[in-house]
Amino acid sequence: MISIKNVSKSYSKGTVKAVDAVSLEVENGEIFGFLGPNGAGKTTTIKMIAGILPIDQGTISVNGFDIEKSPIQAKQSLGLVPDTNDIYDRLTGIEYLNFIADIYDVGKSERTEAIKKYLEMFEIKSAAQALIKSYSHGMKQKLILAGALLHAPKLWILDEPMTGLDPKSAHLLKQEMRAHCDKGNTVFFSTHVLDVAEKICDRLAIIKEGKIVAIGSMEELRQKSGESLENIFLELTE
Amino acid sequence: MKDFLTLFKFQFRSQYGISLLKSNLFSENRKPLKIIGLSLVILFAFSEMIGLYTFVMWQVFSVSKTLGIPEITLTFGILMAGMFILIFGTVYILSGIFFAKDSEFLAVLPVKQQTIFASKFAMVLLGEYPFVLAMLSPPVLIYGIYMNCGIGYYLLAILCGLLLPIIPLAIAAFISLILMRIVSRLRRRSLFISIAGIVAFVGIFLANNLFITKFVAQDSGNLALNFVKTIKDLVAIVGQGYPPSVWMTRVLTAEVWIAVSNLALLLVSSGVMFVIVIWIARFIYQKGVQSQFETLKEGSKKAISFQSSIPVISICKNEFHMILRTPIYALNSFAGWVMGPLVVLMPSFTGALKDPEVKGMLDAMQSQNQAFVFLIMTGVLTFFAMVNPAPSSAISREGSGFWLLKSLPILPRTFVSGKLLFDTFISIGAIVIAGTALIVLFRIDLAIGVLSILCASLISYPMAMSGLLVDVMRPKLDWTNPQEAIKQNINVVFGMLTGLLVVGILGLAGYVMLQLNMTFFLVVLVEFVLASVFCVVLQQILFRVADYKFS
Repeated sequence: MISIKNVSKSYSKGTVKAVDAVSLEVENGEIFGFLGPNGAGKTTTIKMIAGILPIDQGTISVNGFDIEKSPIQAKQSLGLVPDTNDIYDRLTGIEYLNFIADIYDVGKSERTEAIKKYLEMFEIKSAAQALIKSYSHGMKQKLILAGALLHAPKLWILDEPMTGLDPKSAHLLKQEMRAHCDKGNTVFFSTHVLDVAEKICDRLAIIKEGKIVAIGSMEELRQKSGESLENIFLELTE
Repeated sequence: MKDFLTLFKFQFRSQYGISLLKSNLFSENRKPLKIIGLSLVILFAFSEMIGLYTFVMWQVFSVSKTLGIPEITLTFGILMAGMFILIFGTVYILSGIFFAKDSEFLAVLPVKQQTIFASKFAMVLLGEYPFVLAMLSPPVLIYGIYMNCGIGYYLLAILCGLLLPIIPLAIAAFISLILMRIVSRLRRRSLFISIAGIVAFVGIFLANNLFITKFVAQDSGNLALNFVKTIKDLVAIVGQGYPPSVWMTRVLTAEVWIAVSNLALLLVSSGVMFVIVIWIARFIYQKGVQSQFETLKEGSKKAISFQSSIPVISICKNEFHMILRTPIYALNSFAGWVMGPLVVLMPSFTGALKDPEVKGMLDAMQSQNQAFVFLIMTGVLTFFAMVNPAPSSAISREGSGFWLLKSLPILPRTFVSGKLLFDTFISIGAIVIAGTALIVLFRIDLAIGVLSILCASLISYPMAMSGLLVDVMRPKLDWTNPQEAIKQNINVVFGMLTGLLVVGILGLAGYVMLQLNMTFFLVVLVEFVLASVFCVVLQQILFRVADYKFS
C-alpha cells in the first residue's frame, strides 16, 4: 500500500511547483490509476514514491516503510517501471535481469523461474542473450517490466507501462496486474489511455498542475461528473 | 549550406549548453559563483601543464636563437599541436561522429549524409581550438615578443591557428571513415574497434620512440643543445612528411612573397583536404553509422545463465561488461595496462640501457639505499593508477540510465563500492604489469619490487576513491556521446589532481624518512600504514558523501 501525506515538490528553487500538497492512500488489493495531462506532476509523484527524487515537504510511506527514513526496505518492496527506457544498452537482456535479481537478492531457483516466466510471457526469450542495444522500444519496455516484476514486489509502480507494448503483451500485462492485486497486492500506474484506466482500475486520481482534482472509484467519479472517464478527465483538466 | 548551418547551430547549442550557460548566468536561478569557481579551478588545473610547456618552449627558443634558427620554436609548437590532433582526433572523430547518441536522430533527417558529417566534423574542429590556443600561444608569444614582431605577425598567427587543425583532423576523419567501413562488415565490432585502437596507440608510441631515437643527437654533453638539435632533425624530417608545419612557419617568419605563397598553399591544401573527406563521406559515412544501429539480435547460442552474485560483485561485473563493450571506455580505461610496460620499455627502444653511463647508473641503483629504490618504484607505479580515468567518470558514465541505480534497494555506498572494486582492479592491473616490467628490465631486487607493487596497489585504492569522490559530488550525467562522459569530463582532470595529492603526501613522507636515514623496514612500514590510513579515511568520506548525495 501507499500512503502519501501532504507531499509537495518544487523545481528551480521553488519557482516551479510540480506537486502541490498531494495526499492519497492506495490500499492493498487495489489497481490505482494516476491520470493527468502532460506536465501535471504524475512522473514527479512516481519518482518520489520510488525514492528517486527527494521530497520537499510531506511524507510517503510504501508498504509501511517511510521512503525517506527506510528507503532500502521501501524500495525492496516495490517494482518500478519508469517512463524512460534508458537502461544499460551494452548489457545483454539476461545480464540485466540477473543483475536486478542479484540486487533484490532473488535466490537462484526463484530467479530462474521468474526470469523464464517473464521472458516467455513477453516473448523476448530468443533475444535474452543479445545486447539491449539491439532491442526495439517495445522489447526494452518488456525487459524493464520483467526486471521490475521478477522479485515479486508487493507494490508495482508503473509509469506508462503500456507504451510500446504490442496488443498481446499489453493484454497479458493487464491480466498480470489484476492477478497481482487479487492476491492482496497493489498496482499504482499512470497512463494516458483512459479506456484502459476505466476498465481495469479500482480507483483513480486525476492530477492537474500538481494538485489532485479528483479521486475515487469510477462510480464515485461518475456520480460527481457523470458520463465517461474521458469526459470527466476533459472537464477536470481543461 | 543552410542545412549545414542549421545542424551546426543545433549541435553547438546541444553540446556546449549555451542556453544552460545563459540560464546559469542570467536567469533568476543563476549560479554565476559556481561557474566562475569551476572555471578558476579548471584554469588552475591546466595552468601547471601550460606553464611547463611554456618553459620548454622558452628553452627551445633560447638555444635555437643562439644557433640562428629561432623560427624552429614555432615549427616545433605547430608540429606538436598537429601530431596531438592527429592522434587524439581519430578518437574524437570516432566518438563524435560514429558513436554519438544523436546519430540515429540525425540519420532520419531529410539532409544529405555528407552535410551531417560536415556539421559533426565542424563540431570536432571547434572542440580542438582551445587546445590549439594552449599549444600555439607560448611559441607564438615567445617568438613575437623577443623578435619584436608587428601586429601583422599576430594576425597571421591567429589565421594559422584557425587553419592548423583542419588537415590533421581531415586525415583522422579519413582513417575513421575507412575503419568504420571495415567495421560495418564485422560481427564483433566493439571488440575490433577497441583492439584496433590499442594496436594503433602502441604503434604510434613505438614509431615515435624509434623515430626520436634515430635522431637523438648524442655528441654533446649539453642537454638543451641536444634537445634543440633533435628538434631540428625532427622538424626537417617531419616537415617533409607533414609540410603544413613548415608552411605555417614561413607564413609567420619569411619574406612577404614567400609568406603569401605559403599561406595560399596552406589555404588551398586545407580546403582540398576538407573537400576530399566530405566527398568520401558521401559514399561511406552512412554505412559506418548504420553499422552502429545493426547490432545483432541473436546473441550467444549458449544456454541462459542464472548465476547469482552479491550486489557489490554484480555491480562490478556490470562495469566490466559496460566498459569492455564500449570502445571509448575500454580504450581509456585499459590504456594504463599498455602504457605501463611501454613507458618502462622505452629506454630499451632508445638504446639507453646499452649506454655505459646508464648501465653504471643502474648498477649504482642496485647498491643504493633500498628504501630509495622502493620509494622511487612505488612512485612510478602509482602514476599508472593516477592516470586511470575510470573512477572519476564512474557515475558520469551512467548518463540518463542513472535512475536505475537510484531506484534500487541498496545504499548508495553499495553501488559505489561495486564501481570502486572495478576501478581499483584496473589500476592494480596496470601496476602489476608495469611493476613486473620494471623488475625484469631494471634488475630490481625481487623483494623490493614485490613490496613496491603491493604498496602501489594499496595506494591505488585511496586514489580511486579520491577520483570517485569527485564524480560522486558532481557527476556529468547529461551527455550525447560516451566520449563526453570520460574524455571531455573535467572530473577526470580533477580526479588526477586529487590522486596527485594523495601521492604527494605519501611522497613527502618518503622524502622526510630518507632525509632522516630511516631503515628500509621502517620506511616500508610507514608507507603501508599511511596508505592504509588514507584507505580508511577516504572510504568513510566517500561512503558518507555518496549516501548523502544519492539517498
